[in-house]
Amino acid sequence: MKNISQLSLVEVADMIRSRKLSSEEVTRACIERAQALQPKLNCFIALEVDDALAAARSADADLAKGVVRGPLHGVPLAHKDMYYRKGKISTCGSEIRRDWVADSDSTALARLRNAGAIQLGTLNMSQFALNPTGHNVHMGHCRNPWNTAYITGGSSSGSGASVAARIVFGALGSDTGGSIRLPASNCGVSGLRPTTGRISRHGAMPLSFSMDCVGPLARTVADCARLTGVMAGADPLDPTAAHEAVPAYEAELKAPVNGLKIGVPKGYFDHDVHRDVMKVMTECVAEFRSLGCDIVEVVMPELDSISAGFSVLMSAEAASVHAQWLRERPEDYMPQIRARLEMGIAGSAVDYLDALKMRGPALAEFCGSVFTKCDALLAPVASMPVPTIDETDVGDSERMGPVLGELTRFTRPLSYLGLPVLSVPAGFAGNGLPVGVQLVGRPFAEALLFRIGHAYQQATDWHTRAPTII
Amino acid sequence: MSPEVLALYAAALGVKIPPERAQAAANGANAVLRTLARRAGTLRFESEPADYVVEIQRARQR
Repeated sequence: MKNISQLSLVEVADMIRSRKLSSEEVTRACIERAQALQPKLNCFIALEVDDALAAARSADADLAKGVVRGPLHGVPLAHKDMYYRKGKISTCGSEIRRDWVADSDSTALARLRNAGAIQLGTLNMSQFALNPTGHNVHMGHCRNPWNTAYITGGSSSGSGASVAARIVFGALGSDTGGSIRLPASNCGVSGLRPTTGRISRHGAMPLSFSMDCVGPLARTVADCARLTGVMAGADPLDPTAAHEAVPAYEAELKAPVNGLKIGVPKGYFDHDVHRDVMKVMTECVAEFRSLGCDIVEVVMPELDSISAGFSVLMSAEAASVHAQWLRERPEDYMPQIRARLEMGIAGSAVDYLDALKMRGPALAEFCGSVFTKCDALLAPVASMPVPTIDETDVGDSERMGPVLGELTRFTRPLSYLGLPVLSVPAGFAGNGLPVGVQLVGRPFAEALLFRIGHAYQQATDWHTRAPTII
Repeated sequence: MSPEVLALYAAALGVKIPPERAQAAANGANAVLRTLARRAGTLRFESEPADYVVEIQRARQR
């Protein structure tokens, strides 16, 4: 039998449910691993040992009585520290909220809890989710379990690191401009940015109202499908949550993929891409071809202005969210975060509304150019191999714009359009760090993306590779 | 937006941005705004933010 830490979320949930493992022994194993690895990775902000063990014993007691709470019964998870729980601290990775206690529950967390999940603790993140590298001078940088000199990516830094290090079986991240996909790719795990509105944002720290997304990071696509199925759906507490019916994501995983059209981008996503990333893309395309998919070349529409639209929306909305603290506590921001927020003040109301008005036509153009040719688009998550913490420690210097801009060049436009994107591990670069690819679908095509990603993971073993950090 | 105007506008909001920071913020923002303006200039007269909601439904149903 596999070691507990090697199991996927779906496997461990099934073993707990069938009482081959108790939730308590699984939770203890996770706690031991978390305590052993925390000094190296700094992926937790708070580890809640007593609460987690009490919840695990309660889950076991329920099972003994034949009560199954849901598809995550007794499974330990941990979450980016920006999902509120009434009466608990949620730091949002910041000095400003270091002791702030939430007065409501996040809908996503409540749904995970109602499905039986146990929360092991809160995870490190970029300050206020506004950084794609994972640097955080207030909480300490989170480190990549494949090599601790390298970035995890951000802003869901602790989510990527803890799942990759096999500490927890899944974690919530959030994605505004790439904050799930980048850590998933950099740490070698799977992650979904759902269609904007697919999962309620109630009780999640805001960054950019128009583009914030709640989503999972986990070891496999099937794990992500289970977590998404639990969380997705309308929420009276979030008027922007979509009312679209939630498909049975797991049931659709096994549908065949042969004959599906996978689009390979010509333009934008193939400009200035590092050879290691191109090699992974080439091998990934070959794998999809061997799965019986039709590979079609898709000419990309103009995406630079789409990317600019993203930047205008995000910076203006973030500046609005943070205006009061920018007035009252500017010194409590990391210099880089403060500098990025200040840029949001430079745009006018007309610029902001132009960026909002442009989204409809831009989405129509993108879908018309891309999804008339293919069922899903395949692209790299990033143009380069994972960089080191030192290389990307640019603060608010002149290098900030170019370095952060390049890291998010392939994720930002898709965020602006609000499309669902699944990131899956697809190989390694010469530096030994993972490389991920992203599958992009039409709005609300999560089920199709899961199906394609799952088929890929049935044919490859990149998602089973784990760092040898212990 | 010039750095001086940015600093004044920020001050009106109660946010203090020193000149060197205002210069960096204006430079960063202006490059993005220029790129946006090129595309925004092609929008039809009747465009509005809600067009996005319509397009989400249209794209989903195709």
